[in-house]
Amino acid sequence: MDFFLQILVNSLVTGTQVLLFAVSLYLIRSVSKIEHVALGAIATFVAYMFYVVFMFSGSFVASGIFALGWALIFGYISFHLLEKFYKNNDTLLGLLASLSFGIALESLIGIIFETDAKSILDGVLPVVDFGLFRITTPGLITVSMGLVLTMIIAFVVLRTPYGRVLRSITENNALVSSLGVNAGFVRMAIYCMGCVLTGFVGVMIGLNSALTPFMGFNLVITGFIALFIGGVTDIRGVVVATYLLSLVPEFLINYSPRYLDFSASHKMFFVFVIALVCVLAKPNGLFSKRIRKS
Amino acid sequence: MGYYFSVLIKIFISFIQAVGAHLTMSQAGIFFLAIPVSYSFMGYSLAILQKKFLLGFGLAFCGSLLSYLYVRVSHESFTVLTAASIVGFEAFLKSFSDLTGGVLGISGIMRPGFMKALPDIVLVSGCLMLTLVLIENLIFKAPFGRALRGLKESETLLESMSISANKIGTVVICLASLLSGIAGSLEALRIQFLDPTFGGFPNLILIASIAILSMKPSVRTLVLSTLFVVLLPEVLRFFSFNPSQMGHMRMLVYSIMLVILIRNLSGKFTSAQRIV
Repeated sequence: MDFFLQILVNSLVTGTQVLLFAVSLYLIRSVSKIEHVALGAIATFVAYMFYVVFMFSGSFVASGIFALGWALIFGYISFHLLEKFYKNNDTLLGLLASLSFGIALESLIGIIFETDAKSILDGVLPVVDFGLFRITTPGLITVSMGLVLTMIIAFVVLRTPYGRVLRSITENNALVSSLGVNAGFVRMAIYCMGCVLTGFVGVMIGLNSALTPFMGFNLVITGFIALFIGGVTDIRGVVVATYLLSLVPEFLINYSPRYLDFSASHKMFFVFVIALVCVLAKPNGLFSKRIRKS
Repeated sequence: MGYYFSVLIKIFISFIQAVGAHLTMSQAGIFFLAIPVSYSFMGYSLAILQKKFLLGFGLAFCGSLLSYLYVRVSHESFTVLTAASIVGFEAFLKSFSDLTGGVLGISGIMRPGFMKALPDIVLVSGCLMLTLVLIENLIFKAPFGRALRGLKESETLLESMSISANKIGTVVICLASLLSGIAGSLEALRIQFLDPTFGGFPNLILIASIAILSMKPSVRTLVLSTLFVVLLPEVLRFFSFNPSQMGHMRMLVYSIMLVILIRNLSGKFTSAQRIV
């Protein structure tokens, strides 16, 4: 039972990291129709900036403010990089541009910091013991903050006038602008918000384990897959798909017969297989309904 | 001399692979991002099934199973799945080490008798490239080429002319997988070593750069863009960079170039612009 709970908690931490990526992708996609896959590299870059200041000052507050500044800068850059694609309705080209931008950032990190892993916190990580399971403090912060933030975002998007504005920008940008909404500013704010959310995840990963130039990539790809499995317009589906993609591979690896010899390296393979099955069975999202086309 | 042969082979191989990307991404407007998967799949098939080349080439068609997805899912989901397949396949190569050698890869891949030395590979890949130049030229002039361009413009219009958009898409994805597979096998024979990083996103960026640079339905543009993209990072060799950073430098140059190219191309090839 202890082992089961420990796996569940560990998967929950990873799942929440992916969830925040998926939610950021969802928000950006909601306002611009573009999948901003460079978020993985942006999260990594922000985490490295946190690391640099923390090494010099040893202050969490100073490092946090510096990292936040970088996240906002990347939000601004992302908006100006991808806005043209939104306006020209070249969303797939936008995806490719975002992918290239992400790879450029990762290469830049590789050049500046080299590829060896960097730890923000030295020594043993602080752990919270719940009796039946244990969780690291950064892990606990990730899960609690992640779930609270997701619930707030889901509530704002689905139940408030701000959420309706957000969704209507994708539907008809010109009409929303004619109602006095500065659609460009809303898009830029969402880009910044997405970068801050993923930057937070990047820092938490750095505190929980170690920093590597490519650490954000697998997470953003998993978040990206979760977004499409769950349904690009259904935040409820995205949340379920994220935990599905995090929990199922983890349990397959830990509970499969020993002769199958599954290890952590199989995880992305399982994620891809689950994605394939889900997309073939439910191409429009986990909770989609059949709609008759006219 | 070996360096020049290697660069020549790289140009030829990149062209062979880029023909597939040119037809899918630039002409048909299908964002088939699993090109590196076919490349790596065929390289590994060749290494594992040494001396059974026909079986290896047959397996290259397995990569084209992805074309089934094109028919089944939406365009966006297809793009996502093909991008995810790169990560999935790399994880497969790392995980199933009994078959693929895991992270250590497979070394000492034997070359067939007619490709023992580098000049032989130059000759074979050069001949293949010339053949493909002719074939692609014919495709552009044939009804199939027009249907490909039509697919990018409007699927509905294509269907109204009794041409199946799914059929055209499936054929072009199969073709791109096959060509990418052939390129992967030639590269595997050149370097005689494979590891999970073979192919992957660096390969996608390289080929996508070529394909996007040559948006026009012209073989000459494709040849020129291949030359430009492959030779561009070679300039970096004349600077004294740390060898461990060369790979990152190369990727940085490619990706920045790709971002600039894509931004400049955006809006220029949409039908709305031309109608106006």
